[in-house]
Amino acid sequence: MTADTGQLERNLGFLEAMTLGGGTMIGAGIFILPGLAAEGAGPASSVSFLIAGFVALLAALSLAELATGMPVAGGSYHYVNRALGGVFGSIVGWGMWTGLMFASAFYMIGFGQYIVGPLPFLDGRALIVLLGVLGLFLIVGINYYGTDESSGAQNVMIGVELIIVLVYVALGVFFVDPANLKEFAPTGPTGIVATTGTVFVTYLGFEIIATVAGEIERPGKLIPLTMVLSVVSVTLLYVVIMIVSTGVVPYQELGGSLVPVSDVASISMFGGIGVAAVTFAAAVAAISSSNSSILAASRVIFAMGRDSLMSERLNVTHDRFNTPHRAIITTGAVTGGLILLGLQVGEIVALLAQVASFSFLVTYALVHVAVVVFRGADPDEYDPEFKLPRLMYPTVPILGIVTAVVVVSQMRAPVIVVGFGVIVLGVVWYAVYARDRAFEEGVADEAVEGLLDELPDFLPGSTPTETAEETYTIVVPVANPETQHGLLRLAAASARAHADEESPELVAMNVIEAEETSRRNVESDRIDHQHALLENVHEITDGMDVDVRTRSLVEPEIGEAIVRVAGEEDADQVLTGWNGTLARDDYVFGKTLDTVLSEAPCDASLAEIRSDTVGRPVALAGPGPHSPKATQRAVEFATVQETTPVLLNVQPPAPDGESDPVRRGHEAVAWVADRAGIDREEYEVKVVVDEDTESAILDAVDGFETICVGLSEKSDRSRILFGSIAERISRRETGNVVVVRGGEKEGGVPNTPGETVARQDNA
Amino acid sequence: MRLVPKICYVPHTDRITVLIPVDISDSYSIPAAVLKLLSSAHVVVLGYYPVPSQTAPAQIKHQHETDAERKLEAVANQLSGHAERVTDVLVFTHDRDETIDRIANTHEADAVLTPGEVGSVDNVLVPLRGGSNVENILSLVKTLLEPTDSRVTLFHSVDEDDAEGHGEDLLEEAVEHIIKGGINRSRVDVQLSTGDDTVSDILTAGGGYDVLVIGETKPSLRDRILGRVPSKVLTDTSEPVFVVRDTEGTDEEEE
Repeated sequence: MTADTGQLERNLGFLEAMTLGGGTMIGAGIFILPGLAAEGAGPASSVSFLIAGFVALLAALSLAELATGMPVAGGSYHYVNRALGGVFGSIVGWGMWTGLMFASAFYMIGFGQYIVGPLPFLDGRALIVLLGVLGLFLIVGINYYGTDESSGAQNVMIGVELIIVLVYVALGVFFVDPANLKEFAPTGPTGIVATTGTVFVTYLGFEIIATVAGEIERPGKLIPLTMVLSVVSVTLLYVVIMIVSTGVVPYQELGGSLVPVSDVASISMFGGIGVAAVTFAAAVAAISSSNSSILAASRVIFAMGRDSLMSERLNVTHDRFNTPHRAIITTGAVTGGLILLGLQVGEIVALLAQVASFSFLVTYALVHVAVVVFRGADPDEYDPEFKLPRLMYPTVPILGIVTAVVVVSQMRAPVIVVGFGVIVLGVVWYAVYARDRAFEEGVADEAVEGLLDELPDFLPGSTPTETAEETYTIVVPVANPETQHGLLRLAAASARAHADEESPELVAMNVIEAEETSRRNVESDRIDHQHALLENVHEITDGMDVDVRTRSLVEPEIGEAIVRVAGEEDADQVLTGWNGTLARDDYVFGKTLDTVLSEAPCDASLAEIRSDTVGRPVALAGPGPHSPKATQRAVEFATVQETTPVLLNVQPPAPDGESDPVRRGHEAVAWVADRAGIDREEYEVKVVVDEDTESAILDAVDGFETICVGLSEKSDRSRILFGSIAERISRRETGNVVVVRGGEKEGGVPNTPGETVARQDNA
Repeated sequence: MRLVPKICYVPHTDRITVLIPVDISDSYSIPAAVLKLLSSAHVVVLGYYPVPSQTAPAQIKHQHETDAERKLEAVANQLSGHAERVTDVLVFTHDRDETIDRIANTHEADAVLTPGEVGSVDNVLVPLRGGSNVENILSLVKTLLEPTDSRVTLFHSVDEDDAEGHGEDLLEEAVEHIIKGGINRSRVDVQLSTGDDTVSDILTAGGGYDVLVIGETKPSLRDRILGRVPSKVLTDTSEPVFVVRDTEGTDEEEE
């Protein structure tokens, strides 16, 4: 039986992604924005849409590169968090969440306006708000209970909506009065740019494609295609619509209307029929756009929870419906509150649109920064299928940041205040809630750390030797949830034994081996696995009385990553797991462990964890150079259960006339213990006299729960002998087997490949 | 375009692979009578966890993976004593059908079993449409029957004016095929029906049956709109149904 972990199916094809992205974009915006845009810039508002489309296209290009490099749920939030670390992750996460809520409220007020507008007997702001809230209630309800992806109803509705929009444009062209377009840009360039800030809310749609990146089929191809295609086509459509709308109805009139498209349709689309069709399309558009926004919001919240930037309680899915009902209801409640603000705030629609635009402009600016950081740091997990071509990089990110800043700078003061409020919320949230929980290292952090490492002499207080005096650090690479507990317990015991002179510290690390991303969502699988492992570390070590830090890395070579971390942490020991067998190829313990053993700049221990308890340890106190270290480890491990370790020595029977083998054994053990700095009362001695050293060892260690074996140097050619006693013990015994090698710090010589490799001690 | 000949992907023909999709969010166990049928088959248990579009599959996986793995393992363990070989796959998906298709392709499944309720398997009903896919259907029938002593009813529905007796020829050949495979003639019944309503014909055929083996068909435009015969049968029956995949037809599909 093959028990592989669950696969994540990618179910969203081209049509679904376009419906999500493009559908959201041409959705509600098309019916509400023409009025606001005409008010802000007259017929030249078509230029505003062009500018907004250009800014969005730049963002879509950068986002597409990141999304194909890491196609997992969460969109921009995930990439910015990975690139720039938790503070910016929190800013963007909150920015996206609130942005989506503002946008959703904006759509739903538009929904109310279009239903109230054409019916002469209905009137009043209260009714608009009421209808908006009711519509929202419907959406939240549907999403609470959950829907199938394969429901074609929504696609049909959006198709009909699109047809109505196209008919509107096609018929409208014949009713355009050139006189209306004569005064093309009544508010001048500033007005055009300011209007860009309002209409940018339209372009949230392609971000929604990125938030479901983990579910899109052939992500390398479809993500860039659907993002770019939806931005370009929607931009062109909006430009034409603005020209037609302001051409049919003078912009002054259009700008004052709550239902601009209906007004135009009543002229160009056979009066009442046109108005009815537009009303229907507007309602569908509002519902579907708002729906997509709420779905995207719960993906963002999920992604933040995955990085411990958001409470996992918010992400619990419903027992029966399997929907993230708490996230949906929270999003719905805040959105409802924003709609209700419409009762008090006159310009609510414009305000909602502009704040949403602000949030996403900031987000996209940071996305551009993230691309630059990823390109600069070039971590191995970053291998996007779609890469900005040479002509576009770094032009696209730089231009993207500049244009975003220009658009933001032209926004009205209240919008900027609210927008910055959201940023501050993100920062405060990180500082108060998330900082202690999140353990994601941004790529930028690494880049900065790397820089600091190069300049230790200029930075007082950051030289590694200073901290080395104070802490005894053990690096524990964890990979297997089953043995994780045993490893950490041994490491904690070993570290605590030095508590007199140095404060004990564990650094638990996990390395994701960078690989090709396949069709399935491997990336997300591994990240989840890594997070689970490292989260467990804190649970396990709780109460072990050591300082614990965790580090998550993505590297091509696990062994080299461990060695590097040991160096960076100025570790005293690396304690890693071992499966109890030797490799049968060119490696001895395997590629990773050989690298650790030969290159780690400190003590190294390989532990095969099989017993739940440490029990009474035994060490082989033979003549090898690492026997004292093995002995020392045994003494440290013994503290877990307050036992006295046994030091074992095997001697051949003495020929006549030579000294007593038993006494010789005791002397040998005493010498080893002395070298290890262990007092006589800390251990017991066991000497066995036998011709066959190996089988004597095997018999003598029988029944011990933890067995420590030192390595000894041996020429490369006899590597077959290497580790074989440890392997044989492992095969026979059910206890933990620890292979120990001393390191540079204590004056031991680490093995260098090609010269010597270690071999087990035949004690 | 394809450089590698198709033959490379065809598994050795003597072992039949049956895919069993199981909704792992629910509790499920395979009826004992069905286990016996699977004795000489390679069984792929597909535990699928249906994910609503509101939720990222990764999120459901994050919360339910351990539980789902445990349930899947229970189903697999139930099978492991019975089937020739058992493979299990766990998938979190928005679209069950798409996942079944994909897993059936990657594991080269010959048939997909839709589990149902059944006490004992005394009679297996095999409706045959025309000549397509007959080989595959009959190979599966042989594999299922071998370890048991169930009877099989081969069923064919024809137009009222089947003057040339095509229907009878088809059934005759099928019977021979099965006998050649080592199944005793006395265990094989044939039934020729004339009627318009294939689905209800199938469902009322044989008086009573415990397991159904039907071939999948390429959906025609009409089928796409009105529903395919197998899926209509599937929704109208509570018995276990083996839908035999048309592997000969897959050559025209991409990949």
